[in-house]
Amino acid sequence: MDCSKVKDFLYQFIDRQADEETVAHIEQHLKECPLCEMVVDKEKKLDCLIRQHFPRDQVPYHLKEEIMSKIRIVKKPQNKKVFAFAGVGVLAAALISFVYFNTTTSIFNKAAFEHNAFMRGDVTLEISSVDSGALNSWLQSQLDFNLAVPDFYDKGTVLKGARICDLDAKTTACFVFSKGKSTVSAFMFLADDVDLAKAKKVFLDDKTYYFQRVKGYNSILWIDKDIACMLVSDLGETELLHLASL
Amino acid sequence: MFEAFKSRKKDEIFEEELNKVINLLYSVALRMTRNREDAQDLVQEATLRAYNYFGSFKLGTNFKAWSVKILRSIFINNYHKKKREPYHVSFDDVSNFVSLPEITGVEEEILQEKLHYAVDSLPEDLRIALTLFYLENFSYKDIANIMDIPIGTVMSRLYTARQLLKRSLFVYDRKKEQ
Repeated sequence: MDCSKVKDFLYQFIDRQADEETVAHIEQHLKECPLCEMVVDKEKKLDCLIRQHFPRDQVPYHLKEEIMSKIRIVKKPQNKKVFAFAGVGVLAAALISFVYFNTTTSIFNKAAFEHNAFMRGDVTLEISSVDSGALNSWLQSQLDFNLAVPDFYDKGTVLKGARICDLDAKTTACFVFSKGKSTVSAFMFLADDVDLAKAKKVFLDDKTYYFQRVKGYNSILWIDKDIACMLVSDLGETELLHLASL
Repeated sequence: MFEAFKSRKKDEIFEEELNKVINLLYSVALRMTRNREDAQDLVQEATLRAYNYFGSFKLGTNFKAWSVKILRSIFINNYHKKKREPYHVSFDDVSNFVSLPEITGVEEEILQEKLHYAVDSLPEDLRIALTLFYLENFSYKDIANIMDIPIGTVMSRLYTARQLLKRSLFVYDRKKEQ
């Protein structure tokens, strides 16, 4: 291979789109030709620079929600179909629910379902207060265990309010926070027999965090003094871990 | 009965897939339209169309490329002011009438902004090819499929786009070396 051939395949080589044989020839030539090596290095540098600084944008939160809710409206007739089929025969209904619920028993699925229900507007907050004192006394009246409002909302997160829900037949406090354009649900419940076998584990500062991704939401769960805490959001895993470890 | 179950599953899969690509769709739409409002409309239209056609999408194949292709076809049909452009644009052709901003700043922070402006100043076909390549690292073959052009044309568009960008980044580069 000579210098002019290298020039012909320059970008295919840099872009990793050249075939193996061509790559081998060029690499051999670069070892022997410092001039071509310089040209390739320079182009690679430019390539990195463009890739690193190429404009990237996050979709606005309201747009994402609007799209998702429109899709759900289109979807509705199908849900009715499920009910219609259920009417056709008890066996059919039982079979569907068996298959369906069998795949959605984990605590992560339940939490993602609850979070999703809130995002869709199917459920609303029972108390919307940013005053943690008022929230705490409301919690006392609702729960049969002691729980205080988690205090990470002063780190760029804003507390919206709380509601009580059922996760796997456990009475659960659900706090809703906003962080930037994302909404975070924080679920807290008594941590006895929580099945975490399938979740991904991460160790940080002597604590174990469990991750799972369900329905397009990321979840993180950890256990603190017999209370399981779980955050569900469209935030990335690292952001959730950051929130959880505060 | 199983049909209903399957479509329910498929809805979930669609939402999951959409969550993964929606930022990419929006970023590409912004580079196409260069306007936030149009980009938002475009993304909305493309995702709803993708949902309606999701039945014909083969699970396990490239959802990213498929959804970007839908986005592009809507852009071409609805947002694209039909102006006659030469089919093949060579570097010499465009370098005469496309004036790119010169990058004179040396600070890293403003490079992004300058590059943003330089990319948005490129002719549309070059801009789209470059965006697909750098935002998502789509292969030449994927880009050819999305843009409905031969691979050779993808390569020449990327080549020309890079030469134009290089010109606007050149001053930056020189200063750094001194």
